[in-house]
Formats: sequence, C-alpha cells, structure tokens
Amino acid sequence: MTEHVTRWLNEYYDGALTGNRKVQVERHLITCTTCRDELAALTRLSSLLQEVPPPVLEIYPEQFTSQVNLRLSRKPQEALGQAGSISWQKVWPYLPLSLVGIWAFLQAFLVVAGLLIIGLSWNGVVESHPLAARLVGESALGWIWPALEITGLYWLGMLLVFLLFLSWLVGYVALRRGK
Amino acid sequence: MAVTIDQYQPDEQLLIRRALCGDRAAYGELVTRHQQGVVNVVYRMCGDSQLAQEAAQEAFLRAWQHLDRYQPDQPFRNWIYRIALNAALDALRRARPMLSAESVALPSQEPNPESMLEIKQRAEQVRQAVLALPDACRSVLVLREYEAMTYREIAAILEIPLGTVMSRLNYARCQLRQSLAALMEVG
Repeated sequence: MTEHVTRWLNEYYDGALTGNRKVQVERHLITCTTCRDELAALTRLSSLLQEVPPPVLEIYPEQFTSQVNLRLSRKPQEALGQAGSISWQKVWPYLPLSLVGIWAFLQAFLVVAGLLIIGLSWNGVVESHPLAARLVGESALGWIWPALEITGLYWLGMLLVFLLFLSWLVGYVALRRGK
Repeated sequence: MAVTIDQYQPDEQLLIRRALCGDRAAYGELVTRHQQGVVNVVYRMCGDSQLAQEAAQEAFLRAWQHLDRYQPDQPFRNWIYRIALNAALDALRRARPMLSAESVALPSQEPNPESMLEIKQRAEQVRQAVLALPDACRSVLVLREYEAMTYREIAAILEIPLGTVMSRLNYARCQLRQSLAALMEVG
C-alpha cells in the first residue's frame, strides 16, 4: 500500500487539488480505508456545520437597507472630514469674477489718478503746491513723465491680472480632466 | 448560497462610482445585493442574530466611509466581507461579557415541536464549537464552509498567504472533529 494521503485530503475535499497530486489521491483512496474514513469524516463535519440554521433577521431586507441608508453620512469622502477642499471647490468658479473686480478697480484708479495729474498741471497747481511738485518731480517733461509712469503701471497691472486669469484657466481645465 | 464573483461585476463598478459621488440610492443597491452574504458571514462569526444584524449594518457604514479606499481590481464582495469579518469580531468583543450560552438562542424558524429539540440541541453544540475556535481560524472556516469560497478568494479577503489559509482550515477542522466527536459518531 502507498503512503497515506491525509495531508492532501483537505485540499482534495475542497476541490483545490489538481494535476498529478489529485490523481495520486484518488488512486490511493480506492485501496485505503483509513484515508477513505478521513474523507468521510470531513464530509460529516461539513454536514454538521450546515445543521446550524442561517440567521433570521428581525427586519425585512428592505428595512435593513433603509436603516443603513438612514445612518449614512453625506458623501463618503465628506464623512472623513475633507470640508476644506469642498469649500475651495465652491470658491473656485468665482475667482475670475474677483479678477475682473481687481482689473476694474485698477483701471478706475489709474484713470482718475492720470486725469488728476493732467488737470493739476494744466491749472498750474503743480508748480505752486510743494506736495504736487514733489509728486510730479522737477523733470523737464513736466506732467508727461508721471503720466507715462502711470500708463506703465496700468499695463503691468493688466498683465498681472491676465496671468492670474490664465493660471486659473489652466487649473480649472486640469481639475475637470482630473475628475 | 454562494454568489459567483462575476455575477454582479460589470454594473457593480458603475454603482460604486455613483456611490463615490454621493449617490445613496446606488449604495443602497449594493447593500441590497450583499446584505444576505454579509449578514450570514457575520452571524457565523458571532453566533447571534441580533448582533449579526448590528454588525452587518456597521460593516456597510464602514464601507461607505472608506469607499474611496476600495480597489476596483478586486470584487466588491471580497472587500465588504473583509470589513464584515472585522465588524463581527469587534461586535463580539464588545458583547462577549453579556453573551452566554443561555442568552444566545438559535433562530427558530419553526414552532419548536419536541421532535425538533434534539436537532436544535445538536445545532447549538455545533455553533458553540465553532465559536470556541480562534478568530483567525474561524474566519477561514466560515468563508470556506458557509460561503463556499476558494482558498485563493479567502487568501485575498483575509490578506494572508495561501499556505496559511490551508493550515488554519486544517486546524479548525481538527479542533471541530475533536470537540464534536460525539456528534460525528452518532451521525
């Protein structure tokens, strides 16, 4: 008689044994009553385990699902406290509006400032008022130089606003693709 | 009855994606599909219907909270079963001081005539023997005997090597054969 195959019986019983080993076990079982008894014991144990009845819930399956649903937090991720990122997502679409606001403010401020300097120069206030003179400077160009400076600042501000808008646009597109 | 892995796979991923966006109805559908299996696993682990119901609900809540951690390359059933096993053990740890053989009765599905008494007692003995197994071995036994899972599936759910599945199952069966020797002979 060949060696007992008890060490392979669990796998054989569970259908996890394949190939030559399976054939070897099957051949052995034909002749060996000890191993056959072992296999029968495994079968008997499984039958006993199945004698324990399945659970009987006090509620219907629909009620079970409803109860789970009632206890669910809002979104899965929100339940884990990612409120910060959520508020940022809400603010995100309104960013261009704030950029337009900054642009409008800069434009208004610079136009008013430019007009003020031109007006003051024409009226001769610059020469007579020490503070205005200091602001404009003693340049040969008179009021033209500050006006140019203001125009330069205006375009610089515009460029900054444009770059901010561009970065928002890139970020927005990236976010949409990420989703 | 065990559910085959691929039975629910295609649209199940869709349901999970919808649930991830906060769709409770989609998650409710997932709960409905896996509730029986989860309750069964939990019940076999802790041996009490009421406790099993609570632990199963707890498992689904935990799954919802950590749904973003679910890996789509594995069946949802495996993932929820792993959570359910942990929820069952937690529930058992909390409830063990209060539970006793007397307080935990087997679910009665029929009127309980005298002829049923012996069967009920036998089932109770088996249930106690299973509960007496170490948690790690009981998990493997429950998934194999009551959910008819393959060794590979069990290994994936419990995140243990295949060899460990076999050794734990072998140990659990040996222990049960010893503790239920009298019943084994009668049968």
